[in-house]
Amino acid sequence: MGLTRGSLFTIYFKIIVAVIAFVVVFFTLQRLLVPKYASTAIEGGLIREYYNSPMNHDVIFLGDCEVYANFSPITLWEEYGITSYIRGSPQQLIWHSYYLLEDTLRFAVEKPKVVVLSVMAMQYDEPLYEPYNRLTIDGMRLSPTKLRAIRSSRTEGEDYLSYILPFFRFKDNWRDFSSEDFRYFFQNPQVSISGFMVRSDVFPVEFIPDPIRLPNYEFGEKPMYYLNKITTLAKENDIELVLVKAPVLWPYWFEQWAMQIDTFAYNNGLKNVDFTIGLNNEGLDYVGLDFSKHTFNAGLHLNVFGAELLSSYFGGILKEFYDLPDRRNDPVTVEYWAELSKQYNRLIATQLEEIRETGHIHTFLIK
Amino acid sequence: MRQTKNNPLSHLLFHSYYIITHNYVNIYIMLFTSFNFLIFLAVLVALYAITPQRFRWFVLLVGSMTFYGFAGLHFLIYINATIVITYFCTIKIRHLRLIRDVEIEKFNDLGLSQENIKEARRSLRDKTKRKAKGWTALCLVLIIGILAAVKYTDFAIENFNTILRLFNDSQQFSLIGIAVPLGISFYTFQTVGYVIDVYREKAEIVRNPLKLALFTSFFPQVIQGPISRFENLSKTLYSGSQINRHGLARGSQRILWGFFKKLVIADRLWPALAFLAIHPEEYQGIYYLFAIALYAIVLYCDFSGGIDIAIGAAELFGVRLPENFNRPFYSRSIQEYWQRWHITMYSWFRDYVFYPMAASKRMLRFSKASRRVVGNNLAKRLPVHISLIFVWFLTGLWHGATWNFIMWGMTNGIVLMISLELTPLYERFNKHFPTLTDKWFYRSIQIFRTFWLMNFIRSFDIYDGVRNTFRMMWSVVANFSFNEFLTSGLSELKLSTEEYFSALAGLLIVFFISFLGRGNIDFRDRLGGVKWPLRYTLTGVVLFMTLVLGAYGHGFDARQFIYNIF
Repeated sequence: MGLTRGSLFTIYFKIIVAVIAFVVVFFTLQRLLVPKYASTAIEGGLIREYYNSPMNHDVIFLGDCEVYANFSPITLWEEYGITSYIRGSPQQLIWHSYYLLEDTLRFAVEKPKVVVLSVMAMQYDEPLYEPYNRLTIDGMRLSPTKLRAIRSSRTEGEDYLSYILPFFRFKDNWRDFSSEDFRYFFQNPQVSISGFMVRSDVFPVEFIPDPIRLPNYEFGEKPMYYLNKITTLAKENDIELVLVKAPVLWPYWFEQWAMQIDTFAYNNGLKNVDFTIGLNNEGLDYVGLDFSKHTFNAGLHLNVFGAELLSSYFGGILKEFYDLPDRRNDPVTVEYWAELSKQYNRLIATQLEEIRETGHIHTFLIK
Repeated sequence: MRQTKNNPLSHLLFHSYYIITHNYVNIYIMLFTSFNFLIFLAVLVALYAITPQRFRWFVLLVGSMTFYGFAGLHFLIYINATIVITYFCTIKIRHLRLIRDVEIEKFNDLGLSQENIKEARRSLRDKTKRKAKGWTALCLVLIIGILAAVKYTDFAIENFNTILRLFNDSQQFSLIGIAVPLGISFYTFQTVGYVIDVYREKAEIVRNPLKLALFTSFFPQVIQGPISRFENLSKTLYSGSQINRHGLARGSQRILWGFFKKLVIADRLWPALAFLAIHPEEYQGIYYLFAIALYAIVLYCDFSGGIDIAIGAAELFGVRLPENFNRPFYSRSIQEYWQRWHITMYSWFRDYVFYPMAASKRMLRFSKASRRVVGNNLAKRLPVHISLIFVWFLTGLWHGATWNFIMWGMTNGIVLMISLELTPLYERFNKHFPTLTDKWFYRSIQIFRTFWLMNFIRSFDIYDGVRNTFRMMWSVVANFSFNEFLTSGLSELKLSTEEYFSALAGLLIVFFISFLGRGNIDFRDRLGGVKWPLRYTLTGVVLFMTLVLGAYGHGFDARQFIYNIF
């Protein structure tokens, strides 16, 4: 017995209503449950923010906290007119950096001219912890690049589905619901200035533990494979690749590693800027770093004033060796960067005020 | 660890606890509650729908073998051995009967007298029956032999070693450690039922071996039941029904309900139960009571949830599986409980072991002979009592090759026996207070009593070793502290307050749905009667509660169903 047109219409109508209702509720719940990175692990918001920028930067930094805590794009802009963005996240592995470069080339309005890669993560041969994968990959836009990033990074028990629909990873966050989940329902908080995390506090170097000697200093196959891929991808896109090791005291950067990077750079015609040369527990003279006032966590990361010094020095290198235009004549770019500078200076002022009043900083978000 | 060997449930509890504390994920099979299973189901439904009707059963067979092989291709050897043996023996029985029928026809042409023809027919029938009995016995010995070999060999060796140690014999035999194939107890029993029904001429003999393979391995039921009868299952299993909206909707609702019970309640509460089970020294007295009540809830939601998924998955293909639960916690006596819990197993033992044994000639002779010793009344009941104890011994053994399960089975048997013996007393009581039985508070007391009685019996499943279980029971008297439990007790048990509340919310919904299902009415029929916006909303609420509150995904072990190990 066939169905009449009317009853068929009713069936389709019900199905459509049910599907729409399901989709709306599902994505509403997903939005509520996924972390907003507003009060804890705010670094989780870094990767996502790139897509809110104009995506036309001349310089892209790739790496872990060695880039997002140590290089200030505002200094590069103010002193050299260089537009830059840091695509960095905590414990960002070399293959993460590779896929973020691929991602940048996929979505950028204009290709970068220079890519600066932090080599710190070359020491890691395997994915470390699921939460670190999340902090990097969850922020990426869905694309074949993201799928490949997931495949190369998964630790045991991680699946594709929960990266594509993070609801399935964060569904248990209902136990920790807070007003933050509603406040940032429509828009995540802004946590960085062009990928840079601002920290104005000081925690001077007091004690540096002795490094633990390793049985083998040779970089693993996987990071070397991806370093080669980054090099190739950069060359294919006429991008200058710069390898960099930031001037921080810990985790320890072994000389054997430095030599391998040096050899790789030499063999591939790349510039290698190793800021551990000349580095000691007091600081780095030629940059002007003083670890009694330019680090916020005892030599692991620079604070904003250290980052400004380092960026000022590094900007000079970029300007000297690469043909980077001074964008300070372009009114649209100037307007954008002026707004960023305002936010940057306002946050620093707020943090300094907090330090004066309470001894600690409480404000980390830009807005 | 000793307990991992001795008690399968303790093993599972320990394993789960290990997984929980070490964040370790280990998937042995295509779990009903996994995404893999949902994808598998969707693909199979699509293939089934596009296949011509007469070949649809074959799609189910391929799907079933794929599902079973997912746990390890070597397991297919066992199930296929059972299929081949069953097929060969039943076909032999068929041939015997065909020859018998042809011979009987021939008698008419031999010019014999009617009396001689009758006699010759009877003689031929008896001869055929004897031969059929031989083939049936051979088949049962072989297929039960496979079950016994893989499931009970180590248990037998362990006990033999214990006996040797008692006699100070240093000789010890090493265990063989065969991995028990999934659901072997279930598919073996289903096949045994078929073979006996064939012998009794109650079931049609399947001539196509592949169709017999489908009956034995039908994927929704192969790993944890329900145990079907051939004459019932075959009606829909081979019919190749067209997939329709109604079946899809009802099947999906039932699957969702199974997911809800398993993920929102059973798996959410599991860590607390696992924690209590492996810390019997620290958590006694009231914790023991909490553990056995928790186990009742977890086991019910786990097992009946799995059955819901099995029945729902079969319904998608238009196949009807028997119900296995009928609101067991509303039972007012242990007899009633066993007619409502794991119904298909209980009825299997009743029809294939209990009745044949209790009504056997030997048992009747024994009853007659014992009259002089125990008196007429008891002698009449002896066959029932002996058969009851034997059936429950087998039931315990079927659940697992451990003394805990055997004790569990025997305790059930003994309690049922006592209950039967006390029946005249109850009847006299009811006669004196005829209105009392209808009062809600009296019914509540009966339900409460049955619930806790079954909880105590079930505690043999939880703890490692029979002695340990008795010690835990005694701790209710010896070591009871209500205050400690109230002040810090619950928070120590690996669950947060929010998790207790979410499981409680789920439990209230299960209770509510089960209450609406009184009078043997499928809740889905009630749901079908309400307006579609409300129906969709209620389904949506259950769906989203399962998605959000379910214990699955990151940080949770994709945990097996408890009955997957039997």
